[in-house]
Parts: sequence; structure tokens; C-alpha cells
Amino acid sequence: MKSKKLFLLVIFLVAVIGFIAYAYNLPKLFKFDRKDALSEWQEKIFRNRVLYIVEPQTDGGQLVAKSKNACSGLLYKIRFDSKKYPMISWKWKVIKFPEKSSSAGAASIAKKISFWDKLLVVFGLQPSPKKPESVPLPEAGKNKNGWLEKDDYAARIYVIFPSWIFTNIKTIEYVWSEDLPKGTIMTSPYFANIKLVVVESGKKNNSEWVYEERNIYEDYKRAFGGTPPGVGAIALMTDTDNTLSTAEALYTDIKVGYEK
Amino acid sequence: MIKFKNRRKKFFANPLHRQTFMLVFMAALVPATIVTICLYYLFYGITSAEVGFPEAIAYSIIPAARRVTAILILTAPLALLIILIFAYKITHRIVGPFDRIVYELDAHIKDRRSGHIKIRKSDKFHELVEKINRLLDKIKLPVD
Repeated sequence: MKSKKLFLLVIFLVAVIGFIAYAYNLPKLFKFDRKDALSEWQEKIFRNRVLYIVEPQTDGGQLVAKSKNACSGLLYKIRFDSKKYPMISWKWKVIKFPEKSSSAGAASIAKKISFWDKLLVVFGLQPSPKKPESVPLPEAGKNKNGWLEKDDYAARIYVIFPSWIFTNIKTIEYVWSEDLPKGTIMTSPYFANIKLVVVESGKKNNSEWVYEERNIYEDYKRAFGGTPPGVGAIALMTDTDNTLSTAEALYTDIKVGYEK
Repeated sequence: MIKFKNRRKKFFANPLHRQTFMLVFMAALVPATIVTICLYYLFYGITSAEVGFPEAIAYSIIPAARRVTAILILTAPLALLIILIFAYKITHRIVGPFDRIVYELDAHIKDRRSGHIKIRKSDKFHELVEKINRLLDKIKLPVD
């Protein structure tokens, strides 16, 4: 009888410790105001190395990302319930966007300008404006319209939902796109389980930070449908490996795992 | 159809052979399958967790996993066949002499046969046969 009670007590303690460990560090805020602020992040290099520099003295702390034909990101593993703590927020600035005009994707979009529009230009008349929606969005695993070649963004924040089965890993990427309209949700040309959410579009004033706040739970439901699983990691990336160009962005005040 | 039925009857000497064969076959197949699946998911699961970024997982790990899956699917029938052959051979060496011992003992009981019980060199139960033969000799002595 005594051993049974002791066993139940041990199980209860393990559950309590597990719960505390699961949510002890929430909300997590990354201000990049210390020189060693990147020590808790894991750097993952995929093609050349993006320069991630912490500037603790500037604007109360910021992370500068400079990419030249490179693709590497920073990953922070953090587990929390996306239903209970659905919010994520951050501030970012884009100094320079990747040059997508030279990419195959842009070339394929250019091809879509109709013959009649070109004829109007020849006669000095204004061609009808092309709607951005007319270019089909990427399909997972298919490089139609050169989406793979232009899958570079000046700044992006990942929210990763891991799974026991590695092929079921799901990800929401909040991107700042130069050309795609704000609010666009599209599938990554790499993988059907990656949904890109365009949260900022076009060039903004370089001197001002742009604040973003997203509800992960709602975004997941909108992007994938169904109930979101727990979050397993967040990441950020500035990459230019597909466009073979340069890009620069700044990040600060990344806050995850909190309620509105 | 009849030929097929006959062949099936010959494949297993008796119900004990079938039972032992199934036992040995499953004892080899089930752990092998579990270990393969566990290793597969452990390896790719841990690698994916380590890589972290989903694009990299989709670009390099998933194609590698698909290739491994294809190889596993292609080689699985061969592995299955090898397990089948070994299970059959092992069980045959166990059930064959067992049947022979039972048959010979039956013949001794019914006085249809005398002398030692003989089994093949490659068969199991040599020690048991030796002991039975000694017992047979001992039983035979008072009668003589």
C-alpha cells in the first residue's frame, strides 16, 4: 500500500516537473541587447554563411543579418502549447531585398505579359495593369514559374511544429516580401508542409522598425486547417542563395509564447 | 489444384512442424521489422530534429528517406525469403528427428522393430537419442 502511494507521488512529481519545464521560460523575449545573445540560438548553415551580428548598443539591441549568395539561419528550440500561448511578435527592418528581377521566376512572370499589352506599349498607350494574383502561386515540390529560384526573402520568421513522424513536420513562415501582396498565404515550392504568410510587403522607411504581432494558432488554422500541434522551435533567416544576390535585414524584440 | 494441395501437405511434415515453423518465422520476422522501423524513424527523426529548418528537411532528408524506403521495399522480399528458408531448415531439423524418435519408439513398443534408434548426423536431439538407446539396452537386458 505504501509503495503504491509512493509510486503515485513520484508520478505526480514527474508530471509537475515536466509541466514546469514545459512552460517555465514563457514568454520568451529576445532583445539582442547582450553580446552573447546568440549563444542560446543554433546556427544552421545550408549554403554559405549569412552574417548574423548582435549590436547591443544600437536601438536597445538588434540583430543584423547580411547575406551574400548565402543560406543559413538561426534556430531556437522552445516547446509550448500553441493554443494556450498563441502569440508571437517581433520588430524588423529590411535594408536591402534580394534581387529577384534577374531570377528565372521574374523572367517567367515577364513572359506572362500579353502580346496586346506589348502592342499598346509600342503605340505609346498604357497597357492594362497586371494583377499580381494572375501569377499562380507555387505548388509544393514543383518548380513552376521559377518559384524555387526566387524563394529568397530579406527577412523571415519561422514557427516550427515538430512531429514524431519527421515527414509531418509543419511550419509557418512569416515573410517580408518585396513583391507579394500582404496577407498572401502560399505553399513553399520546397514542401507542402511549409506555408508562407506574407506579413509585410514592399520597401519601407529604413529608419523605422516595423512591429508585427501574429496569432500562431489562428494562422495555422488558416494555413493548414485542423488543430495546431505544439510549437517546437522558432527560427529566423535572411537568405539569397536562390537569387545569388545580397540582402540585409534587422531583427529585434522577438517575443514568443504569450497570451493576448 | 490437387497438385498444389499435395505440395502444401508436403511442405509441412505435420501440424507440429507448421506450428514450430510459424514460431521460428515470427520470432525472426517481428523483431527484425520492429528494429528496422524504429531505426528508420530514429535515424531520420533525430536527423530532421537536428537540421531543424523544414526546407533542408524537405530538400535533403526526405528524398534520402524515400530512397531508403524504396531500397527497403525492394530488398524486403529477399530478406523474407531468407528468413523463410532458414526457418524451414531449422524447424525441419527439429521436427524431423522428433517424428523419427516417436515413430521408432512406437515401433519398439509394438515389437515391430528392435535395435537402436538412428537419426541423421545433421539432426538435433543426438543426446536424447543416445539416452533412449541406452534405456532401450537397459530394458532389453533382463528379457535376454
